[in-house]
Amino acid sequence: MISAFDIFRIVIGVIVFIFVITFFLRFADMYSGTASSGKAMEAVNAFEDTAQEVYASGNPSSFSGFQGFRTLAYDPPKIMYDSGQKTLAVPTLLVPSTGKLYLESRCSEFGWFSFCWVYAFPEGMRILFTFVDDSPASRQLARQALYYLPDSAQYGFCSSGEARAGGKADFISFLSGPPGAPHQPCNATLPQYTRVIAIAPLPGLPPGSAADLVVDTGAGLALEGGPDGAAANFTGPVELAVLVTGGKKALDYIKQRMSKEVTVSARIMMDRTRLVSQKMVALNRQPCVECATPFPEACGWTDSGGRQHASAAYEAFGDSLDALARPGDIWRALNGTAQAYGLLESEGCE
Amino acid sequence: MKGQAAITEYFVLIFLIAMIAVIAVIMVFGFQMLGTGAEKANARERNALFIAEGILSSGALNSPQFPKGSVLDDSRLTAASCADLWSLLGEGWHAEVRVLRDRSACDGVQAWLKTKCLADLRKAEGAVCTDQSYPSCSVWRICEKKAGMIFFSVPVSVYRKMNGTMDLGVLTVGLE
Repeated sequence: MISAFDIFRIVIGVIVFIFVITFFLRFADMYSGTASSGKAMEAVNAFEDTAQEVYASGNPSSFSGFQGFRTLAYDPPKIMYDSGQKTLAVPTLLVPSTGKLYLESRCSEFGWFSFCWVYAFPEGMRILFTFVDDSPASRQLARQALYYLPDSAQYGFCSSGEARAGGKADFISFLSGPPGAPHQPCNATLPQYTRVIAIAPLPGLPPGSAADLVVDTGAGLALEGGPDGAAANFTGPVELAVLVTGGKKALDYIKQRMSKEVTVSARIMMDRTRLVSQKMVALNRQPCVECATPFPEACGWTDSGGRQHASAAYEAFGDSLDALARPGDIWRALNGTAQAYGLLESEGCE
Repeated sequence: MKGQAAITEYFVLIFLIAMIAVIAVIMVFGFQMLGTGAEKANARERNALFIAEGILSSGALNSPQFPKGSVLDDSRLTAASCADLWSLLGEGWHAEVRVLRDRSACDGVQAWLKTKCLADLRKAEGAVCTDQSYPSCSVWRICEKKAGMIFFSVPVSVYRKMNGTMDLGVLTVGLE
């Protein structure tokens, strides 16, 4: 016979059991969420560390920590993952993948200034070119961009149903050879992480062609996502290489980042140039080197004794830096500063 | 009476179970907090290392005569401002580069003069570089040093632009 107390015990027992089970289930759910988001954050931090190491040292590396991520996207400079996002400190061009990533850095050098960025791309990434107009100019454009593209990716060409890819060196030697067969639209079945770059005189590709990026042979214009895609203007091989790997968003980010670094570095260099030229005069260290020629006027900056004036040489370099502050083609201005700095170096001032 | 004792016993049991559950939760979260704290400290250390690497590889501070970086140019260090370097490498850090003088210069000095020689050496080591004091200076301070920073030091080479010589120094990076 069940007593009233036994019924009371059963009811209270069931209530407590439900309460405890609910509490532990909720706690386990919350804890597993926290633990997995913590793990994801750790993986993203580890990736950032690797990218920073590659950026600072210039040594290539690899990273495999994104395995198990449900979502992984990159909107430069933000990396977005399952439970959050992180802004990467170093200029990075990431092609997101949960598999193994290769990291390499590339720099554009101007003597007094260099701009470096990091490529992070999946193992087996292919960049295939298709030449609509297989002219020396098209091949030269591809060759110039290749110099700034990562070494560990695979490069090749795509024509008709055939897509062949291999090492960078092999593709460069292929580009140096005679023009190939007439263009056939690329319609091969392509593996994941393949980007097809069509080099074509605009308005674009012949019907039936597909490409991730259509690059105009001459005008510094590219169309993203095919002939009807968004237009992006580029200047020089560095910007083309960035466009090839990361698209227009990456190009805008790299341009903005580079412009900021150039501005800051130029400001430091201007102050430093002024300081050095003043101190050289104050410390009576006027000449950089003795003018080697018996005709002093043949030297860049000379006094009556045929000795070069360091302060004048530095002033000329300072003037070239001024050009960076004016609106216009930043690459042209940077090349001008590189030339002026090269002169300073060749005269023994640096 | 017996029934009342059983109910009390029952509630004590429930209370104990609840206490055990709460203690378990506190322990698990405690471990989590400890892990987070350790991760935060690691992140600061990694960040300090990155700032140090950034300074050592920055084209704005390194002498282009040594293309691989890691040789700081004293004139660039003097010209660089905190705001400029913060905008290049991120904010919230302090750095100091200190050139070390060769103490063996005082070795041949007579014992009663050695103390003065070493004191002079220390004084020369302490001269902070500004536009006015350059190049007779040995310390570059970039950005303000704040309490509670963690510090990280690495040996560096410093190129003395005006003399064309190379000195040995120490780069110390502090991070908030």
